[in-house]
Amino acid sequence: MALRLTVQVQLVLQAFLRDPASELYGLELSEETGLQPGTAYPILLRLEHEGWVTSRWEDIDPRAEKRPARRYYRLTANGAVQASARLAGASRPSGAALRRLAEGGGVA
Amino acid sequence: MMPAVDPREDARKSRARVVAVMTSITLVAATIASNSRYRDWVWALWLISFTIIIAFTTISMRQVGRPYRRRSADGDSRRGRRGRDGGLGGRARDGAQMAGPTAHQSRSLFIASRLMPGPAGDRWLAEAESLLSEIATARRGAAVRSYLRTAPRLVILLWARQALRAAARSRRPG
Repeated sequence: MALRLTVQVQLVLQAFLRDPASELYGLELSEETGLQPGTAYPILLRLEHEGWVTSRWEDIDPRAEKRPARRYYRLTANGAVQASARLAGASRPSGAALRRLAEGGGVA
Repeated sequence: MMPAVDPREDARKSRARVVAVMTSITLVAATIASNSRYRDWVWALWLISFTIIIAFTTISMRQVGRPYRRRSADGDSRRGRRGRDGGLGGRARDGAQMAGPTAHQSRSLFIASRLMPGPAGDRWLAEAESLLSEIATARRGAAVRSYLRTAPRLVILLWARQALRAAARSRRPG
């Protein structure tokens, strides 16, 4: 089934496409998109399922860093191409929709 | 001077709550069953199911804070997960002192993760823990709520995916 390009999905893809080679973790993504972390997670899962992003656990010693490992996400080559193409064809989210998202962190 | 806190008090209260919940459910179920036109064995099934659900939930709640032993199936290196160095169970161990969700928030997330298929639930919980340990305290409540709000959809999605995978595997020859 083709990925439905909701406003939230568009925001996540735009965040990745700002620097397609970079890796983002949940909190970073949430701050960049304005989405609540719980909302971003199912989107990341779907993107990963479609092969648009890959993910990995950060390799750190949590005791030394005093925090748990992060899960990093990165666009795949195919994902970058597909995302650019789909976003180019998608209608831009309205200001009102973005405001609603910022206020409520709506669900995709 | 602060009054001395009995460390066994919490455990006693928790046990009392569990017993109260189980007793009320059993009483309600028994009352319904006694006034029912259905056969006894139907209600016996209901009672057994209720008992299993309550027992499962209780055990899950009591396991919060214990080392985590379920194995991951995706083969990831997941240091910092619960039961080793950080997260729900490991947060207070080894003097790591990581900030994170409150006990109530942790319990809710833990129970939600148990409703998801094994490795997927583990991963969801680990990512939530990881994020919540870094997020500003003021935003933590909203973040936990967002995780819990999307959990039911995620449970359905993940189980559906699991079922499709199982069906595809069974169709494969050999």
